[in-house]
Amino acid sequence: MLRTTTSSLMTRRSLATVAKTIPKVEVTELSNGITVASEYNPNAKTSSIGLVYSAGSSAENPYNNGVSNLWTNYFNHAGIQKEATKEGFLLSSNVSRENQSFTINTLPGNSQRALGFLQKNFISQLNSLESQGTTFNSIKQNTLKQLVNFEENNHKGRVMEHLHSTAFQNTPLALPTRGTIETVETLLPEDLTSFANEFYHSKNTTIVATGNTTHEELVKAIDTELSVATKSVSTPISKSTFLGSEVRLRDDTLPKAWISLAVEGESSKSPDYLVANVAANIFGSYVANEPRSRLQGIKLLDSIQEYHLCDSFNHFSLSYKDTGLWGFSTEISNVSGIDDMIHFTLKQWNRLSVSITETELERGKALLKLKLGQQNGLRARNAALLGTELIENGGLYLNTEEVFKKIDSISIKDIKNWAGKRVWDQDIAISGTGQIEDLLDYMRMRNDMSMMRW
Amino acid sequence: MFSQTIKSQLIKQSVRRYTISSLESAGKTSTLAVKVHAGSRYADKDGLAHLLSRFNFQTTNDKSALRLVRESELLGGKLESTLDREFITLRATFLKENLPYYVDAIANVLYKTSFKPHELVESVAPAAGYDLAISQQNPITLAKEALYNSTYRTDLGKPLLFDGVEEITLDDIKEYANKVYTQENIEIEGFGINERDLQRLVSDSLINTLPKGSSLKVSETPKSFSGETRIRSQGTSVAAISIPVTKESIPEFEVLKAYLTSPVYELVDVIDTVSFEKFNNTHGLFSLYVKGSDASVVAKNIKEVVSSLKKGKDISIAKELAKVESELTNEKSILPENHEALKLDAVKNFKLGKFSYVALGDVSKLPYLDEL
Repeated sequence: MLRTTTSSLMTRRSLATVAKTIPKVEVTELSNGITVASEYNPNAKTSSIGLVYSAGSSAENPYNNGVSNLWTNYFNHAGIQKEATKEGFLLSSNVSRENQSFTINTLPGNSQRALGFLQKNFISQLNSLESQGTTFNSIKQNTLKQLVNFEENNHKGRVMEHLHSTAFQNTPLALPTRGTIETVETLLPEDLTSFANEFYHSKNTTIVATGNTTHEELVKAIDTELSVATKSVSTPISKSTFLGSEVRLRDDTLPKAWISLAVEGESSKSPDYLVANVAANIFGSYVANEPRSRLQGIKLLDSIQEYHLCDSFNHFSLSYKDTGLWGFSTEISNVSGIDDMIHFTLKQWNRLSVSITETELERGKALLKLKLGQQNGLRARNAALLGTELIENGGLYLNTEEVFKKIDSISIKDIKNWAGKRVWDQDIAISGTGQIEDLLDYMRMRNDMSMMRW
Repeated sequence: MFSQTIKSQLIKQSVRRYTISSLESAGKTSTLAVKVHAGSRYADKDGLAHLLSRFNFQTTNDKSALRLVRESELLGGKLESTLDREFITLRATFLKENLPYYVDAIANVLYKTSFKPHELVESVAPAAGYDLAISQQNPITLAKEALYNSTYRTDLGKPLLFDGVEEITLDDIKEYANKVYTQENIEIEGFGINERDLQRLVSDSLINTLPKGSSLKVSETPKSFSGETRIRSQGTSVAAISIPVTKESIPEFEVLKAYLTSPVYELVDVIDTVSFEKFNNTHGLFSLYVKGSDASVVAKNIKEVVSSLKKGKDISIAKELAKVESELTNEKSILPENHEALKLDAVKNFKLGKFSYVALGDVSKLPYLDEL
């Protein structure tokens, strides 16, 4: 327990690589394995403070899928919210595939109280869920309601979840972050407790603070307020692997078609992480109804606009510990043009390996820089983002200045090499819902991943 | 951006007629926002403000819309023009070093948009139509629109978006642009921008040669009414109430909003949305929405909420939360008027008095105003 050990054992070890290059982000590792990270901004009017565990839905298994989501809902349940209102705390919690966060927004100077609140209402309750039967049932009902709402209304999100489950089938990344209605219905308080015992321990814990909280204040507050369970060995999460495959959820009662298609992308610590992101931004995103979006310098738009092949598209490069997804999502109301939409998009992807131009590359770089710069600005309000960066990318992209230099140095040759390895003639994962009768069979699309002439 | 602020200086320049406020930071991106008191409340014809907002960043005398987009994307910048009841906001988010380009781009829009007839037909009107279609799909937005209308009738009660009811010509839009894009009527906000750079660039730009006019900004609370609107429609039913707020009671309603969205209020689960929109920090509209697919349940719920609020509630428990929420919202704007400290000491009890009411959906099952 931290409370008993810190006084004598708290040897602060700064992560030299991080600390040297980024003066504003401070990271300390405590002797019991907890990582403490802060980004202090003396001018901020609020602080964000919280816990990030490096275990999300990929730490679950097909039988307890959804436990993380239930913990998130536990953090937001009425009992805790009521206490939070009295204290003046704004709570939020989020589950993703590889981490989960529990954070509090508050006025400056409250870090001690905030951590005390987390300890009393969350950490110390991790083992006592069995005795809170009614609370558990209401949390479960709320979660199920959210799941039904997601399944019925968020087609784009649903397609992305299914893209993960087909691309990474039978490996941990395949599990949906929210869980499914079927699995959540079967969960018992014991499942949550045993998941917490397995993963919510000091080695998996990052305590984060951004906004108006100094690093010293945070470390001191942890010392007095927090006691996180320690565990000598972390439960290993098995490796996820990509498999070219498809899943079709055809539903002709829906007004449109929603499709996502991807190749295997870069893992989060891969040296090609930024190259893959620049490549995704070269094609960027498009919304047919926005006049300025129609004028963008994306060559793909020439083919799309003439026949209104899609309502919108968005290219992504998602990275996880072992692997990633690089591809695009699209929403199509012209459902008889799906084959053309996919064909022309994949033909543009071919160009990454053969004929991408200097201008297109510069455009992609500029857009990526803007996105990264903006994301870094969001951390002050949401400390969880700092934790996520550290857990997923090891803090590699926290120093915007350095990252911008790296982006600047990316050349057409880098893009071509990367695309030759990851995109050209590679297997694809496809997921679609809505009116997708016109989505061609797997091999027809797979054949578009290369061409006989260039 | 905000997170990495090393030096923050809030400066208000009073020599010139337009206001410049800027906050410097160590981040790599900046945001420049020009806020024009030209939102729907100031429009002479319904929907005029919406069309003007959609005309921003179209072709100017200097540059075609295409050239602006293509140049801007190579520099790493994003342009948008948004509309609310008070402001048309022209906003550019960009990599820090490109500030001069974006000051220029926005100045060009304000000073000499060409208002090409084909752009009205080909891009502005379809885009406006799309905005309207999106907003009409959302029953809460529809109810809010109706609440504003029954509470204020004119001024803030004017429709936000262009709906084609009133005919608007290109000349109307040009005339409105001439009226609102004047030196006295704009406020310039910079995030992550050195204030001296911004002042210098703005005074060298066309913004400095904008015609003189008068500030349209409304500071006094507009006349309000207690009205009722009933709209029959398919799908979700909504019952909603709104209360006009004066400057003195702004803190009270900030706290009320925090109170009604927290489980400390026993009926929190039946309320769908609570909204409090402030204008120039001198007045605002508070509104509360109950929504559901079964109108009889909605009817029961709105009755319960209204009668519980009429009885009076001690809302002081939510003061701290209100403070945090209002600080988080204030961070998004640096206009000095949004940074007056919230005086929460006097807030204690809230008792619902007069209000406006909207029933939308299966209205036969929803109560009337006098039944609440």
